[in-house]
Amino acid sequence: MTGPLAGAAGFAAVLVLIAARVPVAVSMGVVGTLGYGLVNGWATLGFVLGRSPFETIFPVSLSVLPLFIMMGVFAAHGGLSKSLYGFVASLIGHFRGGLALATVGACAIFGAVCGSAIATAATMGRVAMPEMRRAGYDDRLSSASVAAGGTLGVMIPPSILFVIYGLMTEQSIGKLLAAGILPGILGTVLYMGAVSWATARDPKLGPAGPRSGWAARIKAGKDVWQVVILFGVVLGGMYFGLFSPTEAAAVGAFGAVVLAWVGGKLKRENATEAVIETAMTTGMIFTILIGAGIFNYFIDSTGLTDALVKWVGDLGYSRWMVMLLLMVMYIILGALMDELAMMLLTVGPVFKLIMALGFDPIWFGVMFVTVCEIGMIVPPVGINLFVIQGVTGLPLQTIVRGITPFVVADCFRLLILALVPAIATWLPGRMG
Amino acid sequence: MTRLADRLALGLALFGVCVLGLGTLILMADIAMRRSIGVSITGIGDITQLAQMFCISLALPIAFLREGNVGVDFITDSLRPRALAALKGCVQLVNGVFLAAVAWYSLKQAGIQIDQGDKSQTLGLPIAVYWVPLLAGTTLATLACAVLALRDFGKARSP
Repeated sequence: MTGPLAGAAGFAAVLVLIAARVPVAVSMGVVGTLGYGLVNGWATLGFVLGRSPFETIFPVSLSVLPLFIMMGVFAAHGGLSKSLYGFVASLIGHFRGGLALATVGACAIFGAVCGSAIATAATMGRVAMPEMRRAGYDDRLSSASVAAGGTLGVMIPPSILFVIYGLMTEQSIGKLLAAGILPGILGTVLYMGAVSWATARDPKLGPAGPRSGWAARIKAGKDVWQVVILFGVVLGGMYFGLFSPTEAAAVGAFGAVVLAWVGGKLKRENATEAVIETAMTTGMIFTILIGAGIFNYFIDSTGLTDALVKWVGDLGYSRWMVMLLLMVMYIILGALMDELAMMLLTVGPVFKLIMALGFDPIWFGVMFVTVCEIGMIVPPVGINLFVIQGVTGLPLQTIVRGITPFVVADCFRLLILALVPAIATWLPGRMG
Repeated sequence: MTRLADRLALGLALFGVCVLGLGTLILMADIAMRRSIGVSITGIGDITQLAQMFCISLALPIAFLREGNVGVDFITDSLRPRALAALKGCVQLVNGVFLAAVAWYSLKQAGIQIDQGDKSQTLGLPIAVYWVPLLAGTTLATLACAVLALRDFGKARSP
């Protein structure tokens, strides 16, 4: 078997291995290795296995990833999440569903210093869930608001998914990060709308709490400046051309460590945990990148991508119909597999198709990350559902039962982004 | 044996992140010097790259040993405990063989580049310095998978 058919068989083989519990990274690596050997001859294996892993982790532009991971992990361990939640809750906690609204708001702001949905959900879950339970909130609403709110971490910069998308498609990382700001704010507003809609239908889901006085609000906000400064320096530095993405990530990581240390939150044990978490996340992400690098060698050699572009062109569908089909495919894939793996597995061929159809690559990046967000909260493998289950000990069904309004809000956001692409492209378009 | 492997992997991971931290400090110093006195640290790109290689490569063993890699479990979760343990053992074998192949071919590729006298762009560091962490990381990750395979097959055999 050769040519595009071999590539398609390779995709199927990866899915079979993943279903058999083989890690996504190894599945891609093994199929990529065997597939490349079968198509191009076994003598070429040394080239693929010997060069690809090194080439994957060697480019200096990749240093942004461990640095942004470090920034997010240390911001979480430094107690920023608790300060943020307390401040936002003091502002809007007295509304019906106010603590769930505060959770979404705090997730969005925390997402501005943490590029990972998992870290955002886990961190805010530990802070917000006990508060909402104490205030008599229904577990369905409280857990779902954290699971969904956590996904804002991958849209609002710095976002690890945007960085990887940028590296894979050779798009400007700075522009991609800027592109996530307005859609992230839109997502926050729509999630808050979902909370308001749910509590309007059933007020028992999130009873209104006592109103905080201005003195309490000011006191609660005394540590929020740290997040503002970190976000402002990192994103502002990149946006105004003061820093390269690598430098901005280094400044962010350094700032997060210093703020946690100065705030007295970074004790020895806590610091060690943060370092281990940084290493674990880095190891996990780069293992997938290595596997995907090998797999992409194989896919490129089969000509599958070009065949796919030609096949879609021959179908005669309008480009928007193709986009709709892609989004549906990604929502289904996102429900079945990890979003990072989904990106690494498919973005190569799909990006060429997108470019051939004349779509804006930055806008498509935002659309892609939005469907990734949906995938993170849709069963059976919505990762944030499992994160919240792990943090709260709640049955998965409880969290899933509360998630529907948030998924609807995400689909609505996708539609708005399709109708008004400027939400994603306006800010990056103003960059130098 | 698992505990010993965990300590080793943990030590390497800590070392790798500390090297990245050191690289970050040097990068910060470079930014500060460039902004204040207009002088840059020579070879800052090489240094950052080296720090990143250490951090990423030395994080691989702990990611495998603590089973931190992304996978799909729910399809096979309903298997009987011994069958599940056997499946997990097989998965660790697949992981180990793949990593061993990566380590072996990387060693050969490193040898070719070292023989050719490849060096880093600015500082002229021997390319071997960049290969060493990757070779160490993939080799130790292979051993981590072997340890886990022994553990899982042991569970599969126990009554």
